[in-house]
Amino acid sequence: MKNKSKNFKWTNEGPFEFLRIMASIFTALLVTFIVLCVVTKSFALNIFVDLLTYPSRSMFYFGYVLVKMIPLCFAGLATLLYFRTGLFNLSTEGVFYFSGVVATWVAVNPNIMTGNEILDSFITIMVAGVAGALIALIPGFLKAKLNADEMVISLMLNSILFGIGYYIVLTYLAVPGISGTASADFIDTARLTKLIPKTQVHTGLIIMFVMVVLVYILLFKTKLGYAIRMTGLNKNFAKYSGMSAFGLFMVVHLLAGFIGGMGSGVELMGLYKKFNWSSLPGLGFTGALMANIGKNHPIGVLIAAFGISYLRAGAQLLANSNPFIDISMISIVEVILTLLISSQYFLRAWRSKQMLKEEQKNG
Amino acid sequence: MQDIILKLEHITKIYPNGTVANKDINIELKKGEIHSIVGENGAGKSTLMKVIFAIEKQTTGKIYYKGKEVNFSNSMDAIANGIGMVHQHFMLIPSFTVAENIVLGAEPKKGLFIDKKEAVRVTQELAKKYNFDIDVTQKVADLNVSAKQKVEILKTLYRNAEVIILDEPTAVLTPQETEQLFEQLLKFKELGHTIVFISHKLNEVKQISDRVSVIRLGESKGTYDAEGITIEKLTELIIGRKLETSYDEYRRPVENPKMILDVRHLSYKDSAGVPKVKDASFSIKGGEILGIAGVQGNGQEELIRAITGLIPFQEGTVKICGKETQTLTIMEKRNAGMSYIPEDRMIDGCAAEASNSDNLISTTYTKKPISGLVFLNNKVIKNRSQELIKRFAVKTNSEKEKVGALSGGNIQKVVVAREWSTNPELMIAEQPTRGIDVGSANAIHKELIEMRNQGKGILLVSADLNEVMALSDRLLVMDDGKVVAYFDSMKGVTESELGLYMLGVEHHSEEVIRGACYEE
Repeated sequence: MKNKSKNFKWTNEGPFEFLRIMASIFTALLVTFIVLCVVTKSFALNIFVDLLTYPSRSMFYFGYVLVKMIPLCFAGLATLLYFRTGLFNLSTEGVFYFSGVVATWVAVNPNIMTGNEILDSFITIMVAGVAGALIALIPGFLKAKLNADEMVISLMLNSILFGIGYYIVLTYLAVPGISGTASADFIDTARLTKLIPKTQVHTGLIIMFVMVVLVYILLFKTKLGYAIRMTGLNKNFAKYSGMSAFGLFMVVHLLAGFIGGMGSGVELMGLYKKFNWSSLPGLGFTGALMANIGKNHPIGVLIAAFGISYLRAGAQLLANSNPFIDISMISIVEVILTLLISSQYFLRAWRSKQMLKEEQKNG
Repeated sequence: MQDIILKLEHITKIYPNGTVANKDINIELKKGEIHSIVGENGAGKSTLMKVIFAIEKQTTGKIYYKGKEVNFSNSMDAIANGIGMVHQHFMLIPSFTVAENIVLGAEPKKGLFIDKKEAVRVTQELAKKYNFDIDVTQKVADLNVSAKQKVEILKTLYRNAEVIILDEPTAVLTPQETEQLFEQLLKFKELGHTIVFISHKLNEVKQISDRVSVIRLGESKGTYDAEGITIEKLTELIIGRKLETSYDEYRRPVENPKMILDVRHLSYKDSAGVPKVKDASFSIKGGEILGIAGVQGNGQEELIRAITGLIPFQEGTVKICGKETQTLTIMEKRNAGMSYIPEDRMIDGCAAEASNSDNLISTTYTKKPISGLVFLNNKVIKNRSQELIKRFAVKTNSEKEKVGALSGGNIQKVVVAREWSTNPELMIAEQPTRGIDVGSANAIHKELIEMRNQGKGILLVSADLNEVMALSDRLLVMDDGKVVAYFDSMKGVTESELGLYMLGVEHHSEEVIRGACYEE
């Protein structure tokens, strides 16, 4: 009944998945092209080519792509842990903001900073991670103990965290006399060092790669990862097998919160001189987007983060030079990508037709 | 005698995931016959029925109905053309009355409103015409399983079904109720209806049908006159080889058995306060299989879920290998020696989207050498999975294949293999072979007997009387949450005798039932 042949076929599960993602990307780009034509009221082929090639035209631009993928990737990793456990939690948004505030408090505080470059950035990022982990325990506990809907809780929590975080910034961290609300400058040793000269790329990129590998190992090589995957796939099965949902939910929230918090610390210490975020960074939804496009796989999230960062950078660079183009246009591509990649039935009909042909050929 | 009412020509159905469920199937149904369709689970019977009933669309092939090629757009269309289907899982609204359920979707109207009086009159007339003994003003929630089935059948008749498809209708019935159903089927036949009867129970198939079509691995293996074919021959056609039916020769006596499970005065009320299990007491020693028979929904399910820890019970004690377990977690109970084949393999028994090996280690993944303190040992897991797959003859491409891609029987083998692999003292087997083919069922039965011979205690719950009777050393019957009968040996116990206890017509004295407990 099943296809027993071991030969490579596009209809086999792996290659088919690859084909599907490629087709999704193609479709999304095609729609982008059409949108470009519509907004510029012309056949916008060169603008389209610009969009796709701009970021790779100079090392500085490409560095921008790399730097901007770091927070996307961290948010994606945190969110994929939730998704893998079957939790639809979007608190990475608030976690990112609040951990950033906490990291700032550390990074401007000469009493804490030791003056050692490696140690200081390590302390700052870890404190941000721990802050994220502790915050994430709130929706975690409510979910595990009271079975509260984690999506509603996390969305509410985001607003609360922003409120409290902004209050802390205004009252304790803001430096008077500067336009806008901003903290004092971070102590230099807390900041991450440059990795590639003449670009903005900082050592956070390495931390990001390490985290991707760690999350991969966690998911596929450890007992905890196994429990996460089984609970996410079928929580009745996990319960019946003897796994404890309470403990697992708590640990997953701790870990995801930690990754989110770390991401915030890395972003701040890598790219900013001081804390001046005056709104939520939007990384809750973007994290969900990364997890979705990356098929809940750490490597997938890495690729998705790069791809989206590349497109966003392309749009950003284009917007600087072309009055018709707006950066938010790129969200069309993102949405279409997410939609197609997460659509299980996309291209299914084609696949069954191919299989029927094979079946008839083989008799 | 008659002309062809429904003809399937070269039906092939390939599912989007690539499963070829039907392959060039040809079947002709004569008007006014009872036509059985038999085959192993996963052979493609259900898919074929879905194609006829337009729930699924065939990939290629033609369907002729009353001589004309038809292409029903959906099941409503099929119903309108006179094809009715009674599903395995009833599709009734519990809070509606029988009459309301029957007319649902084609209600007699009075202006804008449903004419309830007319509905009652019409359905009563219908019931009378077909000799159904049923009160149409009752709520469906208050009916037992066999009455619900009657409502389902009446529903199809109300829509003037000429062809009625019954998907495993006897799976949920007692022997007495089955007889009753068969009388009705014969009546339908007399009135010119065509019946398609799908069943795993070959003696019933032979008893009731005019002709039998066999499907194996998605292909038709011919249509036969029921009179002219033996059950042995049918079994051979279905599974492609011969099969033994009695397990007695495999049983070995066990010396100095330990007490494995001791349940005393267990009572359970659901969240609405309705008592589901009433004061159940029994015990199991090593080297025996204790069967629990009963019509489904009489507390067996709750009893098992209480023992295994999936639901908390209010009163009584449950000791596993001498250990009191009421406050233990499921993990702790499993560590105490419990293993559990759950009733529904897709809900509790597996993660369909996970691989075979992931599914095979879910109850052992915390133990050495499968894992250390933090890490899984993927090499050990791979070897173990391959061993289990081989030992239990799971038909699969590799240990990495998704469990959900296997047939029901093979998924069940994965579940049994996993539960066996913990080397338990107590094996709780709930409907261990429901809905799976004879070949796989036979293999699972032998495993259970083998475990019994090794001195394990086995608690077997099954709605399939043949199964309970073939496997059990001792037997309980449950009715309405109570243990109503106890047999300390299966010698001389007949199916129809059990049927009487299952239906609550008779019950054993308290003293006899107390015999189910061993004194410590």
